[in-house]
Amino acid sequence: MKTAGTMIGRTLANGLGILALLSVLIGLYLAFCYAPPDALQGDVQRIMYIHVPTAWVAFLAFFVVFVASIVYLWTRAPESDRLAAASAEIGVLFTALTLIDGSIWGKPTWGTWWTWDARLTTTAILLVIYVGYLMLRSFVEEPEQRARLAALVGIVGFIDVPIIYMSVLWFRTLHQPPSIQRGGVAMPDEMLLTLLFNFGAYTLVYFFFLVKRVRIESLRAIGDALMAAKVRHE
Amino acid sequence: MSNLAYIVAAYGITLGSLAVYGFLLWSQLRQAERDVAALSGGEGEGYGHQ
Repeated sequence: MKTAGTMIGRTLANGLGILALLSVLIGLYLAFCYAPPDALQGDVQRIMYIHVPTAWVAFLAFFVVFVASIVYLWTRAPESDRLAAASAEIGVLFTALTLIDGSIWGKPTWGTWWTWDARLTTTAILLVIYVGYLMLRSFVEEPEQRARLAALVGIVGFIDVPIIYMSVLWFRTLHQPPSIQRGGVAMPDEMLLTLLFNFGAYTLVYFFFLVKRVRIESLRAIGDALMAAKVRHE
Repeated sequence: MSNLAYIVAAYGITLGSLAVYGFLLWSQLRQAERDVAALSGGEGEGYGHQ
């Protein structure tokens, strides 16, 4: 039964991976061949189709850390801790990529690679918080203490996410306000469709990575338990 | 730098990093499956590599 379940899980995970890859390729086609160039920025604005989705995935990843951390503190289920750890690592990757491609976009549009603007600074703080989260996990050896402390950081750290989102509205910044707001959408339909498609594509990439990362954490936990049993037996 | 260079750099770094991370996950998963299979002897069949 275990083998059959594993096979089904693998097939689903690999199917998700293929779907994610196809979606990214279609997203690239839409970004370069379907969406029109921006009237002011020209072609360099096409960086938006990768910058905004990576930022969205980073927020999603840290939201998953937030929820999984609350569930862990509530239930003490190790699966929740493993989910939080996996999602935090992916979130750090996507936050770093958001800062890098945002910086590359900033140079031709703002004339600088970096400025201590509210949106950029709060995003850099987010990266530092979750790098700290991962470092904490690697420093604390006792599993329950590690999970408990990490859950606290995972919950408190998430406070920065709504601050980042609202920073362009609360402060005077170089960064443009959200393109999609309750009041309407500030872009043509072709750009909106391309952006939304890329949101979906990179969300699929996130879930594919998450499934694989959680599986690694689960196997390591099984390995640790088997090793402990072996040592006890000897 | 031309606009094209900025676009290539942004997409190249992002997609390249995701590809490298995907490869690292794949190799870590294989290693974890091998470790569990070795520790559990015959019972490790269900954890075999993908």
